[in-house]
Amino acid sequence: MIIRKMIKPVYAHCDIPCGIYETDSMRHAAETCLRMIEKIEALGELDSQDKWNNFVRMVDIKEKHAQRVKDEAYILWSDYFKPEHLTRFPQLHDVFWRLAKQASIVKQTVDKAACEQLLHNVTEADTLFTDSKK
Amino acid sequence: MLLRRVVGNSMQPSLHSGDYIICKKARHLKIGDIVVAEVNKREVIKRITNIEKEYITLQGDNAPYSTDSRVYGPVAQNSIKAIYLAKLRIPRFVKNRLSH
Repeated sequence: MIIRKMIKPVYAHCDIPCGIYETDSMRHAAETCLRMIEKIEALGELDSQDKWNNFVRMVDIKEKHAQRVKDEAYILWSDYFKPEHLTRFPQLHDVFWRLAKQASIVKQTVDKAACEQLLHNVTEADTLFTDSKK
Repeated sequence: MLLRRVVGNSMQPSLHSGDYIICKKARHLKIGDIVVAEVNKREVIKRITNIEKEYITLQGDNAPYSTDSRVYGPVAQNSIKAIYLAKLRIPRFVKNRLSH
């Protein structure tokens, strides 16, 4: 800890608030998770190396896209939404908190229902985002 | 000699966030050097893409994710603090301890 404090950071950042916000990436990532679960279920018994290979790849893609859902949600939550939005939409924190939690559940499981719930949570966040622009 | 910790992804794939690097004092600069520069009162690490008289153009290797001279313009030569020399190879268990 002390050594870390002694070594100064040097920044290699992109730190411009670009002002470009959207929910398509989040939805696309959530839909990818659902598709991966469908493909995993379609694999059936893992009785060959090829199937194992595909299984691992699909789980990996699901993991990455569920994380992407969280990343995209956090960008909207922390960067786009402002305190004045919270007065208009008091449910805002709850919607994004549940969305992030659901994305974690999708990572932990191979459960189509959980993924459908994630898509529902994405729609909720999307609706908030769209309404905030009106 | 300077020892610095890279924060951010704008120098990928050359440097990754969390890398520890050694730099030497900047004397003779040339295009292609990775340098530590002071921009807006904080140190940034970028690559020199152009030198014109007293002004240096900086750009991150990971251009789409870099805030550099394309945004803040060329920087004065005296804002270049050091030239990157090498990455420090730190064993993972030490790195993990440093990151807590």
